[in-house]
Amino acid sequence: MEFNVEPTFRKSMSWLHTWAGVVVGSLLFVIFWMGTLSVFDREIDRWMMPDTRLAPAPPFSLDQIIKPIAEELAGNSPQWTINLPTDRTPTIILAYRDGNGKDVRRHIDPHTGKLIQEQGTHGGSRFIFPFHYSLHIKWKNIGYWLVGLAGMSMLVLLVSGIVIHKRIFQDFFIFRPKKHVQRASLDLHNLTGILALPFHFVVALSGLFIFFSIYFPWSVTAAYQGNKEAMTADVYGTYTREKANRPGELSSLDAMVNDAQARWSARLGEGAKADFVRIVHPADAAGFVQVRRIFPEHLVTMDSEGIVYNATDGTILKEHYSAPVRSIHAFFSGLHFVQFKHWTLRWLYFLAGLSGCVMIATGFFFWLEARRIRHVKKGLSGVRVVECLTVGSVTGIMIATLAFFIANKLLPLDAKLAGVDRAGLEMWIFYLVWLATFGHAWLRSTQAWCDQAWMIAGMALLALALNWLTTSAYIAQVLETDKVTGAGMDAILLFFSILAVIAARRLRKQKTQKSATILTTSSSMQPRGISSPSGQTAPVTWEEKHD
Amino acid sequence: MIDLLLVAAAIAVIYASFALLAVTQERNWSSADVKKDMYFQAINTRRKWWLSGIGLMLGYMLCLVSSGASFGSALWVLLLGVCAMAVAFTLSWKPQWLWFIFGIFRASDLI
Repeated sequence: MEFNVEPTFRKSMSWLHTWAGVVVGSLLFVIFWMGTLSVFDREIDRWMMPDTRLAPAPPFSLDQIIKPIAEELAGNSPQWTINLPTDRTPTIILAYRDGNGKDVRRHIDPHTGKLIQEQGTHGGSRFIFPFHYSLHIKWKNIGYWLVGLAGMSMLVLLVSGIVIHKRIFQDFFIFRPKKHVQRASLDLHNLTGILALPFHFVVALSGLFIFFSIYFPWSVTAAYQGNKEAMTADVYGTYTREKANRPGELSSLDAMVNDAQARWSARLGEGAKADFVRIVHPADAAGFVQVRRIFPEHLVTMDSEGIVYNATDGTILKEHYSAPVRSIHAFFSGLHFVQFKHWTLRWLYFLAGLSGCVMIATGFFFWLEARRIRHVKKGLSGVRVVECLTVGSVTGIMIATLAFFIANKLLPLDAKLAGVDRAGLEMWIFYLVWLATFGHAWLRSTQAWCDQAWMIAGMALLALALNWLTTSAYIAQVLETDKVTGAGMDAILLFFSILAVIAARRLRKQKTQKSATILTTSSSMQPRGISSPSGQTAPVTWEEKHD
Repeated sequence: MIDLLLVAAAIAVIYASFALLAVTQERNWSSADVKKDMYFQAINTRRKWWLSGIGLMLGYMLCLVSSGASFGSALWVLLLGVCAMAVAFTLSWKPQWLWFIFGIFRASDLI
């Protein structure tokens, strides 16, 4: 890597694009991959928690169903939170803190009012989704900062990519899959980068918006003298008060939810449903109940309304509606979270997310192919290191995700090892398999692409087969209750398996061609253990491509 | 159901608009085999650009009618990317399919 000042603005941007991409590309791919899967986080939940695959919830009473269960399970918990059923999550979810200080989430069947057996998994909404925005690194918010850095880098990469692409309009529809891998990679990189540019830009920017108080804490410092509680009360409508330490009887939750829904409906001129209830200090005279509509089904803007009631008599303590600036934030958050009810948009988000993954992966391919022979000639190991990181972060994370799914189907419900519960074991399997893919990539060098593509194909089919085998009366269940969720997840696994087979066959074919080329052209330059996968003798450069 | 039909119509209109835009670019002519069609080549390119633009706007209208302002706008932006990629893939693997689109435009006397 040279640090000389480039002679022109375009060349400077080219240098920036290349090296920013190589440095943060792996992290960006991981974030994009998990974000793409998070579009269907609730559907992944249903797939991983078979007992929660229920028909849409009928009308039910919180007072009759939730109150007795919460009082029995979580009488001493400082608060209960209740996620009400939606089309995508047909169960009631009760969350509380148990006697050991551990946070617990239980699903309740709204049809019978009974607790559903613990499913022993974090599923899509508590493993894959948080991985997307925090990488599950909680210490000093490092995970959030890394994701924020990647988001900012994404914006830089998009802008610099536009600057260095000399023929955006001429090459608007150009994709030449039959050309050698370097050319095809660059075409696909440009195609997915340019045509899905608005999506990539908006998701990167909105991702930064969502956690503005972490990335730009000065807004809190400047306007609220560092008082974060005052900021959240103003902006998000949060409410808090101390416990009175006197017993109090919890008033009707149904009445509070109905009242909130009536107020919102009158204000908006259309039916509005609450989806979240929080009861703080449940059995105390100073208890209060927060009713919110976090994810409206028919709006992009999310989490704009909330009403806080006095728990003992149901009187309103605070009614909150977003201010205009916060509404902009809520709109961008809604665009990013994709929790609204619009299936066409959901699938388009998924496709656009995949296009982002393709854009990052093909950028890596181009970098590797453009330098492979040159590095071999000079005896440099940069290509091998970047290739190892790329394989591990591209195909490796796919394998780790599939291992997570397979573990979910194979581990018994009461599985426990060295104090780690079943949900924890699933996560450990994910991380260990992911680490192993990096090791495999290092040992197998260029061959690792092909090996891991076959692994993806096989593991996706295995996950699909295990779902069919371990879920009793699966077909009947899919047809009767949860057609979209069950069939959709299996269809995606099948799709990935087919795609991986195509990729593996193409890589093998290329390897055969490469071997022939290496033998005839550059065998004398190849150190042992390092080989050129594509075998081309004239690598394409950015300049050649864009001139 | 009507919403789904409107979205399907939006997809068709946006795809056709991008297909028309693609054949205004000379480097795509050989892959789409448009050179055989001298009549099509003779048509003013600027007119095709206008038609493509109008098609894309019509697609936006259909998205707005089907899904409202917020969802409709997001839908349109995402459909632009997906349909443009679909045209690029058609040009790569099945360029002859674009003849069908040209045929529709010619039959409707728009170009």
